[in-house]
Amino acid sequence: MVYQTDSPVLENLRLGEDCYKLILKAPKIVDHSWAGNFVHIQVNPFFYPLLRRAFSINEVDRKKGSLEVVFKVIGTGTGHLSRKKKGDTVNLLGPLGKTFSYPDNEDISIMVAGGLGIVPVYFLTRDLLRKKHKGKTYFLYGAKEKDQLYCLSDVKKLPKSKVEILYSTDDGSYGFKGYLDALLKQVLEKEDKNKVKIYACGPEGLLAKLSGLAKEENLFCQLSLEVGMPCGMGTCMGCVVKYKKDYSSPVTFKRVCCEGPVFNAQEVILD
Amino acid sequence: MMVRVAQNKKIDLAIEIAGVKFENPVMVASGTFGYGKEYADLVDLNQIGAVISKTLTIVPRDGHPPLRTFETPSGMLNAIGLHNIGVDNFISEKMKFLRTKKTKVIANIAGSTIEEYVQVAEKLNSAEGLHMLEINISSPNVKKGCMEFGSRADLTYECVKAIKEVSRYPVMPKLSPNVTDIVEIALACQEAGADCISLINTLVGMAIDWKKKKPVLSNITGGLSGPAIKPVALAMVWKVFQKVKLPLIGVGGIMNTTDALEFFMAGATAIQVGTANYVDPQTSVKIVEGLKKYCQENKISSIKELIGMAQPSPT
Ligand SMILES: Cc1cc2nc3c(=O)[nH]c(=O)nc-3n(C[C@H](O)[C@H](O)[C@H](O)COP(=O)(O)OP(=O)(O)OC[C@H]3O[C@@H](n4cnc5c(N)ncnc54)[C@H](O)[C@@H]3O)c2cc1C
Ligand SMILES: Cc1cc2nc3c(=O)[nH]c(=O)nc-3n(C[C@H](O)[C@H](O)[C@H](O)COP(=O)(O)O)c2cc1C
Ligand code: FES
Repeated sequence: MVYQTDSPVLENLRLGEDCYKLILKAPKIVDHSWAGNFVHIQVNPFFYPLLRRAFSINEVDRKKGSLEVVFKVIGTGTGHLSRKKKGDTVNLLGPLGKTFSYPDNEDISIMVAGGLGIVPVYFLTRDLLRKKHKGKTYFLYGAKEKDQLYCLSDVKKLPKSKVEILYSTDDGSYGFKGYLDALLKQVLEKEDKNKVKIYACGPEGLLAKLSGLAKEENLFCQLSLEVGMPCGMGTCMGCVVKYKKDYSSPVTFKRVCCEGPVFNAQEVILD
Repeated sequence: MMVRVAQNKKIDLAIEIAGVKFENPVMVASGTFGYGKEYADLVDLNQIGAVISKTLTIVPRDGHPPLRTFETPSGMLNAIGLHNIGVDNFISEKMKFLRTKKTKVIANIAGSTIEEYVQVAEKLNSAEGLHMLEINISSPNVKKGCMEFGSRADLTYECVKAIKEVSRYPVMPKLSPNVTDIVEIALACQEAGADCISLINTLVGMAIDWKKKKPVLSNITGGLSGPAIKPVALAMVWKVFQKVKLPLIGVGGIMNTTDALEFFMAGATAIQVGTANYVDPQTSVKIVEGLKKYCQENKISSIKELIGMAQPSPT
């Protein structure tokens, strides 16, 4: 079930340079939201910008009926959103899209969070903790530099007894120096690949590398993709990604909004 | 927050086109409402005059590679390339749901050749619960068919006539604005026996990614829709109304009730809501409600009184 609601802004927190966390009240949407789902936000009713903007859900508070989105200002839509104040409302459609397939207790989960791609995998991690998930969980969080680990304070709050947290920065200003996929490879060397489930979101380059890795090593790996989404509801056919079920199937196009945004890394072609 | 239309016996929004009785003159445009069911959680389809399907072709089509859409000031470009499930799947999978709703169902069709258009039309003769065909001779995003036919009066005539000959449904050709004289094309439709005309489809446009130094869309050009094209669509309805007798269905940039009123006053008998569905899925139902309110406040008992109201009176 998809809902459309006018959602009051409960809080708009600045997390760093041009990065914000917006907390919205949307009880009906929250009731049905799971990790990987996104909301489609009409940033204002004046048709400027015209189309809605998609944001993965970062976290929910099911008791309060509120959800969080975390975003970076990159253009008009996110610029408007960054100026929202407590008491303003935005129109939401949600929850939209397919969720991650949650791991079983025997699985070893590895969350790979590149930059703001942290959002859906953070939700997944929080949800697993709430469900008292017993499987081993890694949380790999990387960015260009320390200042861009915008959600560092949230990540630091994850219980270290349940989640093994590793950081990377391209410039080495925090944690491992280098790219996230290199850090991931280190973790993979330690673990039984047949038990590993990788959940990732982040910049296109990272996801393309992970898709390649998953294909080469036959890994279970799910990616949450981001593309422009005019409708978010599966009707405009505007948000497609190249898709190939297996080596013998033809290349087709899948709609990221409703057949994703979560896809098996082995089945998408990211070039 | 599904919008409900207030019941009011006195205001008559119903219209009739070629024997098809539409509860109200608000339709949802092809390619912007999927096959109807996608929006069923959010929109009460019983309140919309008609649902128009995505363009259907004889076999399913995959469309163009990404990137297919791009937002522009007050509008958007799309080059989908008629990605659709094909006419057979539409009949077997989508009609069942649509039949359960009070809304009228219009299938939008296209082909690479006139024969293909005819084949699709023939197949739809067996679709129970369908009410009309909209003929896409206007999509700018495919190499063969569509705008190729719709930009020439002789091919428009041939295509519409061939479909009229086989179809058991009233036929509504959908016109392209990318022509020198839209009136000429509309007259060709009339002559070929069309029952009504919808106008307009999208305007050819493009955007360039100046950082990558190449076009944004994989297809290079796309179709422009949204509020940016409303003045163009309105002028075309206005012009065609003056020369053509068929009922006109206005489409292009309609976002709200006042936009819709402009189209009725220019000469439209009904209107279609397109891009606005993406912005607010409730737009069509809100317009139905808004039209009722407008008629009530202005003591207009039937929406038909509005048609062409802004046109100069015949001398
Ligand atoms: C499923 C999903 C989840 C997302 N989650 C987040 C999130 O948690 N945090 C976050 O900061 N951002 C997220 N995004 C990206 C976010 O939607 C864009 O940053 C936003 O649309 C930018 O809008 P703008 O008006 O500020 O930018 P502008 O540059 O003015 O406009 C962007 C335009 O391009 C389109 N577009 C082009 N490329 C993309 C792309 N890769 N992703 C989205 N839209 C694109 C948009 O739809 C819009 O029309 C997500 C996108 C998707 C599809
Ligand atoms: C993403 C998209 C897909 C469309 N697909 C079709 C289509 O398959 N067939 C068609 O006849 N028109 C199609 N259209 C055109 C619309 O039906 C409509 O004529 C046009 O967008 C102008 O109206 P609007 O400004 O209200 O959107 C499409 C438009 C958009 C934006
Ligand atoms: S955004 Fe329209 S189909 Fe996905």
